Amino acid sequence: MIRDLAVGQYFPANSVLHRTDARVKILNLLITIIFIFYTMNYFSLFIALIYVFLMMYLSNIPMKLYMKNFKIILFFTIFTGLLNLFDDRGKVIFEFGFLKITDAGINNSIFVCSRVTSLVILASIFTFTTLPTDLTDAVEKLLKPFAFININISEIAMMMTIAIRFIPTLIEEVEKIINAQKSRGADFENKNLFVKIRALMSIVVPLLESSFKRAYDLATAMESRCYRGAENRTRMRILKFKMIDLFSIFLTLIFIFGVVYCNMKFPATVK
Amino acid sequence: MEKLIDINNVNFKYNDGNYILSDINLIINRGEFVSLLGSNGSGKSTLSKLCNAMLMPTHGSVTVDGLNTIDNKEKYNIRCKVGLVQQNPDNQIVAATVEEDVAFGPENLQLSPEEIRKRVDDSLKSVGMYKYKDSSIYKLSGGEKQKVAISGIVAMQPECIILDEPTSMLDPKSRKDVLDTIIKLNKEQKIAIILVTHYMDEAVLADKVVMMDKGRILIQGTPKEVFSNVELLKEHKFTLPEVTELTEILRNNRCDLPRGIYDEDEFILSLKSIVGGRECL
Repeated sequence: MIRDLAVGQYFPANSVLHRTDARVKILNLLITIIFIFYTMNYFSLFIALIYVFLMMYLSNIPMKLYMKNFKIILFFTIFTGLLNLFDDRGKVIFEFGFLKITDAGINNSIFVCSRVTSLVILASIFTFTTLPTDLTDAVEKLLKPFAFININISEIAMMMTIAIRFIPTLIEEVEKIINAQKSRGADFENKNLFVKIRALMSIVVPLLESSFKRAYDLATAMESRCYRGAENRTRMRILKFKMIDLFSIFLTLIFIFGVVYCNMKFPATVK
Repeated sequence: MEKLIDINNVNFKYNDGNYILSDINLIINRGEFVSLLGSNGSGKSTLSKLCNAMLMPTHGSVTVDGLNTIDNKEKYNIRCKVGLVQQNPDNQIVAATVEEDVAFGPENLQLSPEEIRKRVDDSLKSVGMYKYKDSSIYKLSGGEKQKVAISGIVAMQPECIILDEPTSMLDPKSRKDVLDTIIKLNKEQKIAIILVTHYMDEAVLADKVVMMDKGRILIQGTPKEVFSNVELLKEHKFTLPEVTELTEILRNNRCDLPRGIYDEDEFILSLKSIVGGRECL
């Protein structure tokens, strides 16, 4: 079922990462991703992988959830890995016809694959351990400095909360519509592009129609629960900077230092 | 009894349409359980939206605890007192996890975080959903979602909850579960309930039954009073509770049963009394 997709879903558990402030987690995620793509040799890559595994361990999330996410990007990873295998530079190891596999190509391929995988795993760790509302709160807080360009950040954060909330609901709706249209003889397997587009329309139109109905109901529900704009609210959970957050920042700093140090100390294996 | 909602001579229409409601007079008392019955398009949902200032009457007035709904300043005070639960549980839940959603109302009331936390925990316990407080909304069943929606209203500590066909999208088991929760809130926390419904067996649970047809109140009163008027209800094509229907058939066959029986135990008692203690069942 599409519904079981683990992407972007919170997984309740009690771990160091669950308790870390969402703002810190967002910044950590952005910085570590940048530095993972900055790994130049096997030593720094090794440090990056240690960091990723440490985070997986600290997150207290069952391994099979990561595997699920990993499977989704497996094809993409293999594909980019294969493309990177073929490189003109370096010593030729294999040769079939005009295709040459060189040691530089193998290195490239290993780096690209581990970088992409690390990226996906780090992003999954983030969504597994962060409540959607905490995420939107954090985005709201981090965007505060940009309030001067006259956008209502609280409203945007509220929209994000609702959007995240309705992803599974709408996926379920699409499944229902597809089944309903199939039972009326809609042809979703046809290879012809025009038939495909027509079939797609038969999903999109009812989906839009029901979404308007949902939006109307939701507006009624929000208004009758005294919603009067996102600014006039207090919060049950308040983001607080704690010792755990310092620890988390400290880990990230060690990681950055490790990567930069290894990059400078040892010769680069990839460009 | 002290009155909570006073609907006085209300007519209602959208901008330039026909009148959806005409000459509505209805009083809801504190802690009362009222059920509102009627076919589709009889105006029962519109009436429920008039009670919490989502809609304003075209003529007449609706007062909630002394506050007139037409008074824009009091709009949010009124919505605090009268909460609304809708038919589709999926469309009224705002946040992605249970406790975050229940907190939505109190957060809008700008309470302190400690107070919100306390209200959320209390209200989740009162509907029996406390153990699910951290789970994602999409993992819950329809009935559980509906209980979360009810809990979200209870957390605002209302005087009255309007439930607009809360069970019509649920399976029988969840339906019973949600109904039990509603009755429990009415009995234990003395919250007035307005239950808009299609089901007769739900309607007879109430202290007062209000039947609507084509935008008018056809008849209102205790279940006994209402179900005594069998001819009127039949004329307007209402299905009667099964026991009432059976009583009516027996009455038509010269069986001397009283009118207005809607409860099985009462039916058996009356039947025993006319057969004079002989073994009849």
